[in-house]
Amino acid sequence: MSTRKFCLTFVVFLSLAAQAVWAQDEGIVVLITNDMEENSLKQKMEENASRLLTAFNEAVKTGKKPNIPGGVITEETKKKLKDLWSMSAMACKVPVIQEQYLKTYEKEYQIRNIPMTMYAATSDSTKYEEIALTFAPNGMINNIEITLKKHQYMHVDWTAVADTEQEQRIKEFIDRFRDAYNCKDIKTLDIFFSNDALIVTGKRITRKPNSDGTLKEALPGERFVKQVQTKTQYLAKMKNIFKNNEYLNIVFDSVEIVKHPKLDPKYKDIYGVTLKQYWNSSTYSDIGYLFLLINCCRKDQMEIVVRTWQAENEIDSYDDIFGFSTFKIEVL
Amino acid sequence: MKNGKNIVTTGVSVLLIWLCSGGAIAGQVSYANRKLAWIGSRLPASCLPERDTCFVCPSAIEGKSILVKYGKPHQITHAGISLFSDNAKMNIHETACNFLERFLLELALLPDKKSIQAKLKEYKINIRLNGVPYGTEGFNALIPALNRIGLETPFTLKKEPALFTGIWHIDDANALTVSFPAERELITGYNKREADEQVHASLAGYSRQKETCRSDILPDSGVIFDSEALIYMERQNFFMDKAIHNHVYYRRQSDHKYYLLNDIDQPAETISNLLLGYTSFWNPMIRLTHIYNNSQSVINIPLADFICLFKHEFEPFCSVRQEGEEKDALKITLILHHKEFNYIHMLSAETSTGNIFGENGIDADFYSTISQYNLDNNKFNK
Repeated sequence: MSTRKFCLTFVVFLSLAAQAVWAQDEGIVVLITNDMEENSLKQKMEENASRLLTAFNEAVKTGKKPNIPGGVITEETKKKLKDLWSMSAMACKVPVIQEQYLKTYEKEYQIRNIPMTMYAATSDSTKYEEIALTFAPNGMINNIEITLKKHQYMHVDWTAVADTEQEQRIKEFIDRFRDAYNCKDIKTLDIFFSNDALIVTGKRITRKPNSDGTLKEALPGERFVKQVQTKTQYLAKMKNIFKNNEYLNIVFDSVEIVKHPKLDPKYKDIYGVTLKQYWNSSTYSDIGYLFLLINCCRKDQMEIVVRTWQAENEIDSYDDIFGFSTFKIEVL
Repeated sequence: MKNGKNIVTTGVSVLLIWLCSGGAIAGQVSYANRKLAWIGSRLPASCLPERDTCFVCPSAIEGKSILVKYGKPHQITHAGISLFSDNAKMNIHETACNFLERFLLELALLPDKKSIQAKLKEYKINIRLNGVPYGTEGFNALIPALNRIGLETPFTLKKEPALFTGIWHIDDANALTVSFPAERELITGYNKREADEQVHASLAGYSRQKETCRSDILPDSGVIFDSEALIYMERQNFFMDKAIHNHVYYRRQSDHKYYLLNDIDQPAETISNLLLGYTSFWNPMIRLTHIYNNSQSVINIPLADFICLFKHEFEPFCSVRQEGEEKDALKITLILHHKEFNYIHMLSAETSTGNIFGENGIDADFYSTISQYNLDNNKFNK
């Protein structure tokens, strides 16, 4: 064999090898990831989508128009494809496409989000598009569409929405907390308070005048005393209150919910709740401000870690109410 | 012999009294909520009838009839001083009228003026006779004031965002006014637990609607807007945050009119319309985890049917946003805000466009009966 013949043969061999490699590279596989009742239809759709995209890639490689095998696309779609191809050749660089099928308004099956590179595009912004393939009941492709490049979701602060949702969940927890008192449900209160909860309660002390109507000491007739209690002590006291009061109605008002101010992710589930509490029972009533420190790390069960109470007449302004700054909180 | 005759006479008398009292079976009566149970406990057992009726019970309240209504057998669902006919309640506001009847009976059963004043303060309710607050000179006794009003007394009800005011116009110179907060628990008489049970029962017991809920706002013949946009957003309101809204999305068709957007090319807008209850081809099944009363239960219900259950009393708001690593992953929030009583239900789901437009269904958490605690209605802005 002459050298020239050998080189030609070698070049042809390399081209063929390259084409074979290119063909292997360009054989696209489409897989539908959700179940379909008719498995044979699903397979047909996968096969036709794969053959179509492979034909596109081959066309780009050879510089010719796509040679779509028979039975893959409908006649009408062939015409549409001709128009699309005249605007821009396209190829799929992703070797395996895994997508769920959807049902369109016209009850046809569709696969979307297929990424394509457009070769006639002159600017970077139009170089990449996504197409959707719609299938007839026999599995043939009866539509090809270039879909919107990205979904235009509203440009808003989604953290605010997440916060609103969390705020509503906390309000729902507060409602159940209040119900537990009004229904005298010790079991629920036991669940709601953390075992290590810090609980500050208060009670009105009214000084009675002496029998001659004078007061021995120059003190106001009514004052409030505070007590710090453990969860066990507090629940024991509540059991007594429930037993001794036929009627109990607690009303919450002016509820404000605040996230812990530290940006450290460890504190992201810590919330503070301030509210005005009206306590009405058969034997006693008062008005005060509650501060609740709530741990929301468990979605299924929030926990009260701190519960404090202050009498209404102790509060001159909102800043007087206990809050995060009153306590040293450390999340381990 | 004489003693035996006395015993028989006594026994017959007791039997006659029992029969004349309507065969009261107070021991078997239950109450729909704790509030009614309190009222029931203060009515003499012999007074309570077995069925829906008005009756007098002078030992409880002099000069006024008491109305009771039963729901399930032997369960009282309403008890109050009879002040409104059924027709009047339907025309005015049934829930508010029932509240007034019940609440005034509750007051009438209290032992003294001090207790009544404490109760008014507790509930933040104001009662005035000719502008004079109860408990002050000119209005010291409740029952005589109640005896001046009845079924025939002209009545008006005014509703502000956070307050109802009911006025009985006794005559040109006299009026009895009751102002009360627009709060669900106060007016309906059901606490959160009881209300959640009712919501749960309605979800669990729903029957498949014969027709999908349709909005009667959107005409089939299209809507004309002053716009050239392909996709048009008709601005409505938002709830607390601009991202939680009830805007409606339309698409312009070839006749230049706008039709409800129903297109998976625009998934966020299409899903938003779907959540707000507008007719759509898609009606995904929701596997709803109802979180209430320290328990959870799962109910399967199609989305359109779920929305239908709350359509009349609640205004929907929704948020649809991308969240998660998958390309079509979505986070959905649906807020159902009660139009009158300042509380919401909330549905939250992490799902995907595939689940909504496909056949897999959606897993969602549902929180019911959340008080809004002095919701500022100025937050509802266009």
